[in-house]
Amino acid sequence: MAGIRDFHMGDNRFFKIAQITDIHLSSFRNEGPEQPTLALIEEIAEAEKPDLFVCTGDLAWRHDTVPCIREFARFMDEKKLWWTFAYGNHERDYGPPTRVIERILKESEYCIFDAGPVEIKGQSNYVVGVYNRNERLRFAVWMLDNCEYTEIRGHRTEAYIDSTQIDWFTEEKKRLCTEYGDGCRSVFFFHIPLPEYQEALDAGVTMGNCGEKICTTEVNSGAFAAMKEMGDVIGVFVGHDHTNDFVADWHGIKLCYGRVTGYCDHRRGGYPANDAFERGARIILLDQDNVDKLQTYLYIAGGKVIPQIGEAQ
Amino acid sequence: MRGDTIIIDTSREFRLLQLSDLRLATWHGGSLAEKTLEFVRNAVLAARPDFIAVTGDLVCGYFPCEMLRSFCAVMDELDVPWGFCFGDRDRSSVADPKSLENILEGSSSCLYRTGDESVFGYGNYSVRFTDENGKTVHVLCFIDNSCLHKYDGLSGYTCSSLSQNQWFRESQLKLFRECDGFITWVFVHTPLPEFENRSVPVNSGLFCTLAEDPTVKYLFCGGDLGTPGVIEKLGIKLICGPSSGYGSASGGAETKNAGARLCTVLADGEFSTCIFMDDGTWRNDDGQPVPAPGECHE
Repeated sequence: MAGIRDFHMGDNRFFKIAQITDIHLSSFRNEGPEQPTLALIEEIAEAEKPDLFVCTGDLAWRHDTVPCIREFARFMDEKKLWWTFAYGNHERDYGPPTRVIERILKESEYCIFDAGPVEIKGQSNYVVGVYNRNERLRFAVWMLDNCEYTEIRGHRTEAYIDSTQIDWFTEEKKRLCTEYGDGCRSVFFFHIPLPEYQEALDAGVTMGNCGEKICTTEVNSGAFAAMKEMGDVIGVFVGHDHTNDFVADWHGIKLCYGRVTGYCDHRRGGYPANDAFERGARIILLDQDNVDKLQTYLYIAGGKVIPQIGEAQ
Repeated sequence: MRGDTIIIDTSREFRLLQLSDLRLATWHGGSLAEKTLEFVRNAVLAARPDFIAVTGDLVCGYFPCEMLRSFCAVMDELDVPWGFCFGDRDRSSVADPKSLENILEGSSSCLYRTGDESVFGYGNYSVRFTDENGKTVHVLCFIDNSCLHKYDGLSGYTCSSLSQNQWFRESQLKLFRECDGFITWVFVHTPLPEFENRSVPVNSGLFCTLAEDPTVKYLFCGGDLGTPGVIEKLGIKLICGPSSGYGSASGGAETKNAGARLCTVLADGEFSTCIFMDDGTWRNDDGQPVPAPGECHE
């Protein structure tokens, strides 16, 4: 297998990913915003029928992180929805050891998850392979953990994808090319946006909402440059900044925010968010007949679709 | 050529002279090149450095090998060890880098090395300064970031490549196994984005790599930014050299006011810098006159 699990597109032209993010489940004990959040995910599954849900972090927060993740995994298993997960910053906020979370995710039938090599930073670094109708590896879906805060020269900075992770995914990509041939395209999913998101915004090349400050690392580790050097990366997808959902073509790579999915607002102690920003998901289409052409649109609760790159399918 | 380790007297200050963007060429009948070489002699004699770092764009135009040989002859005569990192003009001259490398490696005073050929670029290497007991006190690291590294869908210069970031980390790691307490100085030609006057479209993470190394204190770049200066980020001084030559990049009109930056580090680690100007005065980075730096060793 190319990745920790592989998907086979068969004759389906598109591999459809639904990116969900910043769900912030805090407790299932009361009738809170958790239920509408799960209902939205079910709605997305029904309307869009994605091949894979990708959760770019902040799935849960607060002291009930572990039971919330367990409940979420149970829900996804019950609905038979395949999903992957990358850590956000909030899962670590209240200290459940990540090995506990890892156990829950790995025990889930429909969750595709791996902590990744122990020698690299973070605990959700892995790749999922997608094969085309001819059983050739066509897409690599990379999950990274860029949410461990980093201290650099005594200065604590928002986490960045560090050199151990960069070395890992560049070497792993070479291995995939050696074993499975060239022609594979890569998409990356993680929580915190790269500094290049700010550069794209400053250059005025974004399309979509930028409702809040881009919260990114102060130190550029060269992750975007590494992706350019790989030569096959077509898209990067992040979360973290809840009212941002813009996309940008930045030097040939699509930089995309997800659409905030959760109705829970951690800033209000887990109570429902009081903003009017509609929840949803980002839908990503990987095209086996045109591997360089990434299309993506927003699915908004209630069924509205907002095309951003290409068309909705 | 000498080896890559130099013994210095650590009881006194360490003096490093930065020359940059000399752009030696045969335009104007070679008169600008002669004027530049004369300035170099005067700067070195005035500064009395332990080491000279040439941060790129040393030659340009149609006779780069001839120009480089002339420069090497002057430097060999001055007999101060020096290192060099490629600039974009050196690369875009008609000589291929290998020819220039052969000349550099043939100079008796130049410590340039090709370095590991599996690493991107020409001339990624380090020079060590030790005390009389062999303890490393300064490491001077030269990195070639002068390439036009055309990523797919992108043109322009790259800061460096992944392989260079990896090389730096690995070579420093080897040093850490042997010694500690040293200061690392890094020299490149093209200003990194952290210099705040972007000249590269993509940040390759070289500054992050340097910042993760606690021994890195100084990062020098060439004179592409136009205005020399010093800023500080995460405890690293980012130092932009003045242009040290009179030839413009295009070989056109003469440029004015060549300068050479002298940096001194005292035994207690205190750092200071000033610029030797072609009128024989010393200036700070605001252009204000300052006293000539103290006398140093013979």
